[in-house]
Amino acid sequence: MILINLLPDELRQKKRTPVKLLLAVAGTVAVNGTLAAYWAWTAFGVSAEVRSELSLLQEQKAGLEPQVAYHRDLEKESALFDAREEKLKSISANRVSWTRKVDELIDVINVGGDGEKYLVWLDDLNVDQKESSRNKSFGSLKASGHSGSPSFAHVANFLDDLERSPFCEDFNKPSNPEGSQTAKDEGLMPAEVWNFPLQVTLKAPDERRRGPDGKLLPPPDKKAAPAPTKKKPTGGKS
Amino acid sequence: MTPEKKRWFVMGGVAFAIAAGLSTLLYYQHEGIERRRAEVSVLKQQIEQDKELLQKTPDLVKKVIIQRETDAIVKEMLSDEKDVTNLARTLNRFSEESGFTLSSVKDGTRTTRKSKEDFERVSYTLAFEADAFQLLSFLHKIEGHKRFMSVVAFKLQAANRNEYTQDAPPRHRVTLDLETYVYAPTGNAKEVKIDHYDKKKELLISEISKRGAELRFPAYDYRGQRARRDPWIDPRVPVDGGPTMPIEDQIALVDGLAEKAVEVQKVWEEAQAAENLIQTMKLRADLETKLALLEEEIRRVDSAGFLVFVPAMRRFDKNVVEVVAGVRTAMAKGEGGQGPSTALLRETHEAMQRHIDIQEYELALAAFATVESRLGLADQDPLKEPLVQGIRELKHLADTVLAFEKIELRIGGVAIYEGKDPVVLINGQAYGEGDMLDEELIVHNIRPDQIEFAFRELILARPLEIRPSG
Repeated sequence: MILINLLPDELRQKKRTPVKLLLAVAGTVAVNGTLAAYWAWTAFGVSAEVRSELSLLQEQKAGLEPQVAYHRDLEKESALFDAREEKLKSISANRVSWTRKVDELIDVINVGGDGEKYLVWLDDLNVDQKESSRNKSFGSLKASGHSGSPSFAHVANFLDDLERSPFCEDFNKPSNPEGSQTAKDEGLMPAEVWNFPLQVTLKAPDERRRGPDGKLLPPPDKKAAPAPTKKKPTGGKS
Repeated sequence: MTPEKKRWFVMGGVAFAIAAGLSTLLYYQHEGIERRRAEVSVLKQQIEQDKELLQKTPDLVKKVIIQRETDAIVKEMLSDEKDVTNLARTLNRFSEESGFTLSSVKDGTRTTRKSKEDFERVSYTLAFEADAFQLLSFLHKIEGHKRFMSVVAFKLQAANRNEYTQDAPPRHRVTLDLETYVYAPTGNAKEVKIDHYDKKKELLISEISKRGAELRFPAYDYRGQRARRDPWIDPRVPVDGGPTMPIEDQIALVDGLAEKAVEVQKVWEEAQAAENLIQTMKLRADLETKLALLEEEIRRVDSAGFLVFVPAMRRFDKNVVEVVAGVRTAMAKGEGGQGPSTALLRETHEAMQRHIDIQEYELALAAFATVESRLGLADQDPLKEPLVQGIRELKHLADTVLAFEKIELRIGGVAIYEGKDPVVLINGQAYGEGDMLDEELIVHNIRPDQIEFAFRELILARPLEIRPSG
């Protein structure tokens, strides 16, 4: 059914936008306007600021990069040198100056004089620097010794002097004196001779490091500790 | 639905779509901002780290400069391929300088190099015969060599006592294992360009030398035998030799004489190389003095039998007696038929006089024997003749005293009476002053404590033995 308003214009009821609609349209416009404004603020304000900061930082970073690359190249070069030096250190750490050790051994043997304190001579000398991590051994020095005296105390005198001498700086304490007497040889002076074994084991490489002056350095973990006072070989009693 | 309503719906939809679109844009915008902020934060952090890193660059530059300079020391210390090839020659030279020859050199074995390692180990085994001090000298040369060499093991078997009582000197049998390392860099150590390198290096010179010293192996200062005995030589001496000089003193005595012999040799060489006659004469005079004194000491050592320790004896013969004899022979060859020089004659005269003064008559004759065969030539020179005469007189004196000492004279007693001639009982017979015992021996003077004899134009005395009374 079609409804026709036949009333004259002046009598017809005036057309008005409904309040609800008006409110809805206004609300929509307000929301969208706010959203658009917020977007505009973020796009042209915050985002632009962040972009600008980022771009500035990127430029700064780009400026630093060649210097960093230079630093890294230097680090690489230095690392290669470090590796070589480290290897060299490990090679030299195990090195023992046998000239020093044999010379010091000869010194101690000669301290005994012509038999007043001891008259010692050796048959052989075996030096080996074979390391065994299982037995914690770093090598040894062995010899068969003779003491020309009827008194076994002379062997003890010699071992005492040896222990107190610079020779033992690189070795652990020698084994306790032991020996056996050989048959008297009346044709020679002294006629009576004691045979004894001489055996000393090398200290760990860390404990026998020497500085450029050749002096023993303190072990790495005990650097703060005062250096031990060196004892001089002293005379023993027969 | 009315068209108006439809329109409103469409409009509502469009408004909603716009709102949704704006929200989406805002979402992505926000996300973008967050992402960029995160990037900013990361970049800031990175820049901070970079700045921190770059603060260390000057120190790193210093470190690299020091390392580059000390790497030269590493290269210097470790052998290169050429050095390894030359190692056998180097070892041979060291052995010769130490006074022995190598009897065997087992070829260097190389250990397989681990990847990326710059060092390759090369081992050698040497065998030789030497005394303890030759071994020490050899070890010192090896361990003090500019290239790294390390002795990892060695065995020494002492020479048998019977071996060194023969003519050969005592030599111990030694086998020695040594290692060296070949430096063959594997890494591509691209050298970074450092601005003003030389200037920076100059500023770091003390640190470079300090680091270099740390890298170098501490050298041991081996000072030679120093009158010490070889501990691998049995020092016992035969009992029949009687009391002997301590071994250390014997070695020290020979050391002293060997030093003098070296000095004599040096003066002789200088005299030969002298540029003018005056210098030659001065050096020859100095040489004659030194030589005569040394020969005197040699005679004394020989006659007293100070040396019983075999190695000391061998060294005395080789380094003292042979050197002196060599110089003397060379000097005699250069005399050119003129006989011994005035300086030699004067020194011989003085040496003989010193021997006679301390009653070393046999040594005085030994000194005479060194020039005896050439005195005939010197006799013809009027300048030398008085010296030759003096030498002959001293020889006569020494001969006479020795001959007199050999005469057996048992002096039994002396009788001296007041107013009467004194009498002495010799070999069971009584003699007075002026009596002849034989053709050459006359009793010259009888005294209570000694009898003086005239013998070959000399007055010589024999003391009376003091016998305990009762």
